[in-house]
Amino acid sequence: MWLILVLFLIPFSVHGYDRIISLSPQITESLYLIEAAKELVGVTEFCKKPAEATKKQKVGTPLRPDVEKIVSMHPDIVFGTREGNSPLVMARLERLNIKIHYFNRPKTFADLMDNFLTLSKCVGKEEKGKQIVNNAREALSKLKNEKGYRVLWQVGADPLVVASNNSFANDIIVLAGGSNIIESELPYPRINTEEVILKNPNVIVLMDMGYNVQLEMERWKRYFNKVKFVILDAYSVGSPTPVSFVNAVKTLAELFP
Amino acid sequence: MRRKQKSVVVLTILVCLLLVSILLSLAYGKGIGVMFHSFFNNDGFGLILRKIRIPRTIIAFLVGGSLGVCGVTLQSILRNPLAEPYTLGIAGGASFGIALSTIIGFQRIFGAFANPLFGFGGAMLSVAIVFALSKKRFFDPNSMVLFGVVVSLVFSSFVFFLFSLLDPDKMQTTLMWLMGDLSSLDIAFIPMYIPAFLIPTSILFFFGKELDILSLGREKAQYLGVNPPRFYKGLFLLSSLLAGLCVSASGIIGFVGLIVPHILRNIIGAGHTVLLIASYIGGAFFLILSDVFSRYLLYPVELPVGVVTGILGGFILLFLLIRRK
Amino acid sequence: MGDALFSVHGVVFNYDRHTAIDDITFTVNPGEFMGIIGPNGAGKSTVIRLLAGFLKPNKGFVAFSGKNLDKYEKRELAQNIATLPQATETPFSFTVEEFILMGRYPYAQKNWLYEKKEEEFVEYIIDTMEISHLRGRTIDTLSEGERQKVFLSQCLAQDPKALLLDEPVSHLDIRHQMQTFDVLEKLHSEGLTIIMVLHDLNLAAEFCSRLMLISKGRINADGDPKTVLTFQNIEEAYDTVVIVKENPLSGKPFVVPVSRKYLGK
Repeated sequence: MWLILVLFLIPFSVHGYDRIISLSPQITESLYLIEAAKELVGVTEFCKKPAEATKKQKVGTPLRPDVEKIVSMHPDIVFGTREGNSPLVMARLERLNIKIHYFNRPKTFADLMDNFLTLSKCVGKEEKGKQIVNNAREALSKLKNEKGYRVLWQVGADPLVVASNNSFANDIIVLAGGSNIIESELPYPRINTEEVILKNPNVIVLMDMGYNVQLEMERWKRYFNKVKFVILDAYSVGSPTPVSFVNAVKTLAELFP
Repeated sequence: MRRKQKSVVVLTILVCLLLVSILLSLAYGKGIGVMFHSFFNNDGFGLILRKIRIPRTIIAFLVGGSLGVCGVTLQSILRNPLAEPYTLGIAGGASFGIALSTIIGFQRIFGAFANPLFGFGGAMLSVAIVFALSKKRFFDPNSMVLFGVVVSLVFSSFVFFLFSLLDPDKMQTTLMWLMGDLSSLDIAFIPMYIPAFLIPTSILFFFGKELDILSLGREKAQYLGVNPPRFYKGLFLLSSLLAGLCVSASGIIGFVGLIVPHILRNIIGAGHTVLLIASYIGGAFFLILSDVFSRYLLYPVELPVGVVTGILGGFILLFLLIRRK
Repeated sequence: MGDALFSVHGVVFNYDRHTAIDDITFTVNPGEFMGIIGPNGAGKSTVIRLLAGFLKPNKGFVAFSGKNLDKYEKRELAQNIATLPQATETPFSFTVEEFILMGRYPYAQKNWLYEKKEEEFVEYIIDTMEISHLRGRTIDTLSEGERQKVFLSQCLAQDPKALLLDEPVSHLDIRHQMQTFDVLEKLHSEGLTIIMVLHDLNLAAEFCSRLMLISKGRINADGDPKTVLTFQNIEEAYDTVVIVKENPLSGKPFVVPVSRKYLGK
């Protein structure tokens, strides 16, 4: 009984939390950035950045967190996401009196920064967080806007799936001075190849997401002879931190200096 | 002999519909004049026509027709008008092959060949298992269906198992491909696929008489001079091969093999010799038309063609069932 | 012995572990009209299936025209023996013409369609069976009686030497029963050998020139109706008390089962 009491008291200690479990690769990486990784005790199988994160204890995948494992680790906080984690599992954790803080998946660059600041405040590293966010904003403001090149952002091949102007990737394109050729209500629509050919992109962004990047480049070269290719790490785009976001924008922007 | 004349009329109409759907698929939004002009000139639309629309229409033709013929064959052998080309566990096997290739990362090695290759491989694996099991039962259709269902279930469970290990981002496109997709087949496949599809189909065309008789059941079929186990084996093998090819070319496209034979049987009657050919043409027409819908209904967003055939086919089937009584 | 159409010798047949036919031997000569009778589960249908070559004996052999059934190609056998099993069903709506044409399969060339001469043969069958009014109908729209005629026509389209029937009339009313037997008698008079399983002992006595009574997979009695249908034979096979009389018109035996309430003392 006193153990539970102690567990409840820990969150109110000065340092924030001592036993953190992260159920999202993005949060794991962010915790390392704000130097709160020492308190991080559990991560998911998919948390692969930075490399040190893979050495932490595993508590299942984001979709199937291992409830027994999590409970047995006595975390004082679990960071999860509404979209990425199974609601059923999360509800079970809540019933077992595990404290959970939810983040919403960022839809824009601003969301990303907000989430990052909230996280740093949570773990008592507000200063470090602010510093990283300001650095990111500064780096972006140095970039020229509106260079007018047209971008296709390919998410999947066979069938062709792309990121539209309503996706998170669109912010990377716009901040890098380009424009997305695919407009759709859906963030990641399956798209007709004809449309791509008609819109004639200058840049095609490919991601390492289970399709063969080399082969897709060959395919596109059949239709476009002057198109430039950018290969981005799916991890850094799919689970971005302010740092990896800025890096992605820079990679794209450097094509058209 | 009235039925014969009717068959000729219906076949003629079907061929016309097929031609219309092919023109629609090739010339949509441009007109036939532009299409012919672009075909011989190297303008923007010419590129789209030659590299995208023509290959896609060919694949839709081959897959649609084969699904129709497979449906007719299996419905006769199984004596069940609701049998489908995937009844023998082919879909489960194909999904398994593709999930396996995704998780091992064969896309990186085989590229565009990964899905067709492993889809076909998985389908043939499931067929081989069903056949090995059926040997002791003398290829009795009922046991084969049962084995097919079980094998399919086992494979589907493996697929779920594999997917639970997999990053959701990576399985997304695999799932989409499985829902039926005519857009992604590499053009390099087409010269290979044309004979691979056409040879088994044209062999099946010659078994109309046997299919008539096999639909009377194993015992009566033997009394009429057919050797059922031999034909069951051969016909199952041919139709499984075809269904496996279909899955490898375009994922799992439901309803074509079910609804096309069903409608045509109502119009031209049950005789399989004519029904096989009509279902080939009808299946090709239905799939090409569905593909046109999937491409342009929400342009530029594309719908999975399996969803279009499912919705279109489902409504037609319901309508027919309600009207019958 | 050499000119027997069917010869069955020492045949044993088991379904899994259950012995359905236990060492039977008999021959059927060309032109016979034979009825197989016996209680439910006696193995009557099994005998038909053995004669038709659908089932293979575990012991002994069945020969047709002096040649073991195993040695026949399926098509060759279908040119000689036509068999009408108890139930023939198809989920598809074939027309009567299409359906009868299937009977020509054993003769058809491996062509895409049936040849003209096969269609002409079907025309001939339709005429002799007097079913030209049904020609364009689909079989699922026919009455039981009409359907039975069409099934029989399909068998005749095989132009067989022997016709095997498994309870062809048990689901027909008496009018259609009589019509069927009229046709069969006519065919018999033209030289067709007919072997049929019958449930109704009186119909069997009336129309068959030879009866074979089997029970528990063995032959109890075999011969003309008068010698087979004695009350002793029937009581032994069916375990039921009967009275056997003579039909005043035909002079054939006539069997009346006796209800239990009249037995008493």
